[in-house]
Amino acid sequence: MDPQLVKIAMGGLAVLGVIGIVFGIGLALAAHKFHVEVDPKVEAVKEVLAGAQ
Amino acid sequence: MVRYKSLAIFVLITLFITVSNVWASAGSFIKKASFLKKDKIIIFFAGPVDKKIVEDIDNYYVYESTDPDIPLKIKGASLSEDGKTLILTFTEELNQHSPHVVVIKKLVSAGRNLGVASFTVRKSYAGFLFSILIGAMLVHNFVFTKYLGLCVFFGTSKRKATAIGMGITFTIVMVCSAMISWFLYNYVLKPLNLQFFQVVIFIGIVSLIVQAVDIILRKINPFLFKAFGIYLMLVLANCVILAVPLLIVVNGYNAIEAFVFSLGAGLGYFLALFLMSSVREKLELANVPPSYQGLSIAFITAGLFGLAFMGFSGMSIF
Amino acid sequence: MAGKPKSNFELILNGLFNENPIFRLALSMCPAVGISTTLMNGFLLGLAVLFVQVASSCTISLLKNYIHPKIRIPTYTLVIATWVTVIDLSLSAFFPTAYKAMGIFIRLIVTFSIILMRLEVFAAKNPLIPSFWDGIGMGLGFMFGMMTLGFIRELLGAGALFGHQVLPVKPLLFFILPVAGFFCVGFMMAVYNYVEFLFKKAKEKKMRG
Repeated sequence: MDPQLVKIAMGGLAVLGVIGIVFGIGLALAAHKFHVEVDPKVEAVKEVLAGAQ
Repeated sequence: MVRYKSLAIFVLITLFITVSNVWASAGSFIKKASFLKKDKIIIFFAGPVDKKIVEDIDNYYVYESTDPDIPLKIKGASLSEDGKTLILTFTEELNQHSPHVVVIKKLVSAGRNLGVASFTVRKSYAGFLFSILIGAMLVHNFVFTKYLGLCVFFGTSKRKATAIGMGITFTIVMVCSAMISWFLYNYVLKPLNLQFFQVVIFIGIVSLIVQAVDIILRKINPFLFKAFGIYLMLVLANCVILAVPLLIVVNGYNAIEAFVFSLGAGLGYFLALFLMSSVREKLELANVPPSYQGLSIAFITAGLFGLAFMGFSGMSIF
Repeated sequence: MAGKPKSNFELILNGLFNENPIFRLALSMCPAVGISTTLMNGFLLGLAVLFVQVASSCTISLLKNYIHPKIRIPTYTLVIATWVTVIDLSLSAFFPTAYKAMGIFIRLIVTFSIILMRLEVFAAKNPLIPSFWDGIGMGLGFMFGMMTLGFIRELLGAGALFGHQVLPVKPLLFFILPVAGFFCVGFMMAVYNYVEFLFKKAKEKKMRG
């Protein structure tokens, strides 16, 4: 394998990993902070109704 | 109604900046200098100048401000009858988007030696931005002249209310994602030679923003969420949302230009949706042959719109 | 997705006719209008979509148990984007001229709603093998639609097929214009509707007679 390519691939992995982790944590925090209580019954009803879009 | 008001204020501000821009000029004796046609620079002096010295082309040194080492070749210099207006003609077309510096080595007016004069000629930047905005909105409208984002376009242009909701949601997500994409591309991907990741990164950012807006809006303003929530996922399936960051990369825009371009794209999409929904509301009352009903006639309408928008092609402002 | 599971052949036929992505589901219209000007363009883009659809359908149906339902849409998009990058780089290496003609459309495959919709509706609920055949069917359906449009537009607009002149004249120069894509798709949809209408009529007659 060309060491140049390996280097680029490693860089790509690192960058995507870091971006993914940063944004992932951000989203998770946002989801936690802005959590909305959804009545489980609503979900259940939606599940049943979901047949035609 | 507040949204419409803020929109109108924004448009007014843009217009104001464009109209009130002033030509940059330096040197007290040089009143004004600007580009003329594609290969000329016109200079206005405060008083009549000596014709012999001024019409000598070796008297000038002109370069683009980005590379001062490369002098631009001058074909000729001609002074007007009253000696106050000078036109420099260059051998090649000038790149008018970048500022040019003109150095006049010697300037003599009515027997008085004024010495060296140097000044910058630039096209008004606000005008350039405005032309990007109008270009993305009308001349290269993404729906009618670039044929992008059609699935969502036909899906949400049945009712005016839907069209407005989709248009607003789309414009906001578009601007945010284009700015973040621009930043990541220029400061992360480019230095690391990872340009081939652009598609993954750009669409990742869009889905991230959609998800984030979904979460935050649900909590902060449930009413707004009810109105706009359903369009958020549709934004993700819209080609324009990916095409704009890609085109920004292709055209090499800077941050402000990228912002204006994405805003123009969003507003253009909004405009297209609104026009189409107005027509389709009327179409429902029309007598359409049975096999053409529904999407088929909508496509033909869009084709007519496309033909109309072809009239904008080739138009250039500033 | 109720009812008995369909056979592989039925899945392909479903993609080609009953749920043809372009003319019936009206999804992924952008390329159908924008670049179906020649048969070759239609074929290549169809090929790319077929590949991306099959590859991402398989990936999702293998990974479906590990994806949290709340973030499934972003995950699907990222999977699609990965496969699109693969086909994008491959096409630019092997077919540079055609790649240039298609501009950024290859990269925009990511946002073609047909792929996302098939992942959501089919691949996320079915095992690997039916997902594979469903992907093939949808991909072929898309390719079929693109090639039909490309055939009509190239034949009428330029009097040529695959770049070879077959007609002595150019019957309708209008069709080579990009705008004509709207009209062409509109007419094709009407034809599909009309055929369906005829079938229905024939069936009714049979029932009665």
